[in-house]
Amino acid sequence: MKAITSLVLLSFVALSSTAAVGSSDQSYVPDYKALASEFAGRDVSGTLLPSNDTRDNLLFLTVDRRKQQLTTFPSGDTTEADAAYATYGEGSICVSDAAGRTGFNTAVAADATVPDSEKKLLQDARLTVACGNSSETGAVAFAPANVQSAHAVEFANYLAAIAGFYKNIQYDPAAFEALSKADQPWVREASVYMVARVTLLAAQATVFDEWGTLDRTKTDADMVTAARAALTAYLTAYPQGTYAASATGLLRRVAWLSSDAAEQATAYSKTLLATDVGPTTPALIHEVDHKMSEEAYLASTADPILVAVQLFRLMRPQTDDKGNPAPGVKAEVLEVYRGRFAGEEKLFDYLLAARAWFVDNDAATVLKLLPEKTPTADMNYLDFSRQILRIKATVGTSGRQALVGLFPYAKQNYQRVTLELELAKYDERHKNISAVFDTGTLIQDPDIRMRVLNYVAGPILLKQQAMSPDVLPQERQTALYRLLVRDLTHGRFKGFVEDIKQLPAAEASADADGNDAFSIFRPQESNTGYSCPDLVSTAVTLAKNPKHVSGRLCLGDYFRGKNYELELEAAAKDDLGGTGTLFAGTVLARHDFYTDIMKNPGASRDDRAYATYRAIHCYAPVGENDCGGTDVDRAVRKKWFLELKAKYGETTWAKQQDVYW
Amino acid sequence: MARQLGRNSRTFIGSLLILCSAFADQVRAKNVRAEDYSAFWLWAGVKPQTVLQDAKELFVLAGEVTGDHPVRIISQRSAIPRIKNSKVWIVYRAQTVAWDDGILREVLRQMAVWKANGNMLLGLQIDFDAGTKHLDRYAVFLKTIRANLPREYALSVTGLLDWSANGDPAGLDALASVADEVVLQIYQGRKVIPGYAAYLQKLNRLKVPFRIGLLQGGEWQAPERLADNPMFRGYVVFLLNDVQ
Repeated sequence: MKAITSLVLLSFVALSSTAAVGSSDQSYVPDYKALASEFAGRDVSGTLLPSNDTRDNLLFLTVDRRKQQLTTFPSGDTTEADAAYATYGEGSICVSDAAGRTGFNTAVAADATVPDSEKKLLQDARLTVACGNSSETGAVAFAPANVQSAHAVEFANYLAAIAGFYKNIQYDPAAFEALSKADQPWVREASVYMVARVTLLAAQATVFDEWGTLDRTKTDADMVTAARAALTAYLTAYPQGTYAASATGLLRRVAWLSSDAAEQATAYSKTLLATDVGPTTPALIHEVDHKMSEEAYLASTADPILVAVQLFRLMRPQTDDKGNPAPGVKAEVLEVYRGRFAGEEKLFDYLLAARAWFVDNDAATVLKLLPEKTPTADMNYLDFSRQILRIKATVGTSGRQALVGLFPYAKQNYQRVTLELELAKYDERHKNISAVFDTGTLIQDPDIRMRVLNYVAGPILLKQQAMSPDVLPQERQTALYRLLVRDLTHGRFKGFVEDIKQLPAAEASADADGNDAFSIFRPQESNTGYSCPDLVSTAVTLAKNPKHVSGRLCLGDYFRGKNYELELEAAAKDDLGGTGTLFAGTVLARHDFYTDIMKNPGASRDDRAYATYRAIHCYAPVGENDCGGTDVDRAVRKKWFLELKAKYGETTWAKQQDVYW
Repeated sequence: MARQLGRNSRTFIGSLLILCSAFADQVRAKNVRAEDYSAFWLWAGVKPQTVLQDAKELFVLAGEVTGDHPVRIISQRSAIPRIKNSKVWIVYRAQTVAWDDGILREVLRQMAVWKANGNMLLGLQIDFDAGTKHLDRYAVFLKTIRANLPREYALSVTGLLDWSANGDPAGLDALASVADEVVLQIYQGRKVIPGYAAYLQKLNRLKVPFRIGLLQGGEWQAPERLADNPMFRGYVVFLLNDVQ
């Protein structure tokens, strides 16, 4: 238990994603979005946003274009995962082995000109050819002499070529070229395809450096051109062929190798929109993200949705040539692309409006671009985004009704929870958070509700939710925890003494692993050297006299020891919770306790010595105060130190202290 | 020695002057020059630089483990590295720690492939992205990884330590029992974390060997006595494209 909670203390952050085409720019701090993307793993909003991962924006726009209704996104293709390939974007020549075997055996079985005895010979021979486990035996054992019928000989020769291929003769298409005019149709098609595949492998054989990075200075344009020609030749001959999908994918690789933005844009626009969003879509979208250059997103052959994804990305805060922060893209830049959105004017207007809002904070332009239009049917992502942005930009109090009115039409994946988040933010901004918890509230998402409790709720609402039998146990716990914490940090000691009575027995608040969510409020041993009663007794003392000397010193020790559990980093101003807590007064600062007590003649010598000692430690180890309150200069700290040594020299505290900071 | 970081004691003009001169100092004397270091992170999309030729250790991003359903690794290398002169750590950036057996198997398989391609593989580094909501499972997760990692390999984790909470020793000890080293990053995104000196002063609490992760071109001033810390193992520099 201890290990787990304190590991949370280590705030693990990812290294910055500095990829040329980073999908989520880490220097851009995303806003609170209430939910993790099922798709890209990062938090996501159900509206099209600059701060969304580019992959999510692309997925939304693809779903819109295909006019799909998706309450959840399709899971990634699991057929390959079973074969231990859990990686997108990593290929090897072996990927074709299993399907190739099936294809070969099926073709052999179907060929009526091959006698059964030869069929068996061929199929047995195929079994001995396996990628990754040297197929030498099969290749050697298998010779054309063993079969006599014309097609069987072609099959046998194909098998010899394949055995060679898997044996690492991957850059010489000669064996397949010899079969590309075979009479046996399956052998012919497969060989034409293999010629193209081998030509491409040859073209890329030398283009990677030792770190596995594509080094474009090493690409041989002629070889890339030859690969493109061979793939195109296959697709021309077999537009619906067995390997058409593969050849189309390999053409994308050609475009990537040749760094031809227009070619990339054409290939991805076509592939992405050719079929509905389904199990193969996640892999494709990751490929777009990884392989497509930013230039290609804007290329003249790019579909408007790719242009849009890039324009959203450019709306993020940028970095200028000198590494200084710079604002997102200007409206003029968007206007350059207006012509690309013929037939997609609603999308372009939304782009302009989103830019006006997120870059310029310009509500008037948003309202001008997005006319009011009450939905009458389920919304796609663009319609939904337009509605939400318009409501955000609307001044006055009509927004709540407008948001509520959208609920029946928010059926696409993520829309409902996004709407709940917007409604909660609206209520927060309009000082109406009790509405979030009203009977019949539309806001059901536990994360949203708990965030409002943690960051905003005052004592009455927290107590109400802490005692409500109608909410999830997790929510009750959150409410009580935050109530007790804020009672203490805001000096609401009478409230604490009352509220602590709601504390459930440790067994009742333990999770499956036995971790008690309320452990910080249970009696604990103190090892500070300054003797304190339990927390509740301290609170009782302070409830009678908030300035009580040893009460404050003990509360200070409690704050010091439980800093992490008590502290809640403030939410960003515009995020849910950004308006701050409704608890009255300011947060108590240990620094104030100590400086008050140091100069309090009514305090005992020992208490004054301890206060001085603790005040000095506020600045350990590099002179930064972590006790809150008002900092003092180093000269003052020096004075404290000298005073501790001179005045209270005989106390443990003075004896322990040899430095100040 | 780290500059005093008093927050409220300067006048506006005074602070402006101090900042200007401090900035000039930093640009000249304190910015991280890759050629002064020997261990680097090589991330996706970052073009190889000449310093790589003489690097002793490279942390090479192999894949990103995303929260897709099912959880998948998104490959971040265009081809399998065949690194001749440097020792290699294979790095996975994890957006989720909800790995199934297939992901773990795949990571181990890729490690074997890298090794088979002649790379001097030292171990595995996990770079966990806290943007997702699985932090509570991290300790258990690392234990599982450790238990499955062949003995010849070390386990490294990246971390940004928030020492404002006085660093709970129990938590750090737990980490020490699982990871062979922690690489502490003093930056977030491309920005150096303000007050990093204060955090680093408290490193004597750390019972696990650690290195400091620096940003190429970023600010760095070693805290006093850092080199005396028995757990300190040096630096790793995150390479960037536009800083040389």
